[in-house]
Amino acid sequence: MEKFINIGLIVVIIASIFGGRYYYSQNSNLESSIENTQKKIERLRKEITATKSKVNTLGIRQLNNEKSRLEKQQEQLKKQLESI
Amino acid sequence: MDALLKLLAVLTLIWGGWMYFKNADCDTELKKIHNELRVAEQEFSDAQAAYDAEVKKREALSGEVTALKENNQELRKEIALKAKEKRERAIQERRERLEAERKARAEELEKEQEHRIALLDREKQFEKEERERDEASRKEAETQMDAEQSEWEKEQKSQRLQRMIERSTRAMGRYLTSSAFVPGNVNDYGQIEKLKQNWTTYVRACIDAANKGDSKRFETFGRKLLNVANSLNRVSKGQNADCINDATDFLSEGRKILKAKNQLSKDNP
Repeated sequence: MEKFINIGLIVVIIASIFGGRYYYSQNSNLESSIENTQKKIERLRKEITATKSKVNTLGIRQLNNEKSRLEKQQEQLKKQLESI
Repeated sequence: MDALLKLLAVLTLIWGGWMYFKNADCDTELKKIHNELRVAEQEFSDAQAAYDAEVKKREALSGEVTALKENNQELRKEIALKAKEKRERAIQERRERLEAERKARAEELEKEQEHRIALLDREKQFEKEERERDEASRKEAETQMDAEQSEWEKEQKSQRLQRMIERSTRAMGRYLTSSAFVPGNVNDYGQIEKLKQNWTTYVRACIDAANKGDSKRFETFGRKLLNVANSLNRVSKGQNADCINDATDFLSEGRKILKAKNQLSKDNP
């Protein structure tokens, strides 16, 4: 009886060791994957920030201002042309 | 040994279980992280799409701005061209207006000049006519005066000659019988009477010839009268020398009459 128990314990121990080792390696992979993913997310966020900041550097507002200024100027020039 | 085995079994079981649960947590965490990653990727994709859209928008805006700039540049060129045309037109109009004014002024000046010339011509013509009229009237007056003067002088001369003719005729009439006749000797009386008759005859003939202006006849009878006077003087032996003087004076008077007659016939042809 005691042998069977010991064998069972040994089996449990072995199974626990293998199972734990398996999960340990899995966890390592998962953590590594998580870490990589987090780095990737971080990189993506940086890129998003950079992209958003790049949008600001495109100068759309300045172009809009320039466009409206040029449109006003065009109106004035047309009036001037008509007036000649 | 059993207890150690049990402890080991418990410990390995705990460790395995912990690993299992940790694995589940990690799995959950990984799923969560993956969700975050998808969200981030989605955000990144959205941000990229937004960026691309902004880039396209910027390109479109840039194109519009460029088009507007070019359009404005064209408008400026057109304005400059029109302004130049307007200036040139204005200059041309001003030039044409000045030219027209100059022409009008020149025409006006020409007309004024022509008018002035016409006035001067008229004035000259008037002066000329007036001069001619004055000259004509002066000449007419002079002519009239000359004519009157000439007429008067002629008349005066004619009257003077006429008076002279009358006077000479009267003077000649006095020589019909010369007061200087001296009878001479008794023997010569008949001859002297005959000579006296001849004297009278020749005197009458000379007076007649002188009155008729016949100088040839007058000279003929004058010579005969002088012969008679010489004969009288010779017959009376020099006592009738005055007869020769009388005859000479008579002939002189007769010549005066002839000369006057000749002058009168010249003056009054």
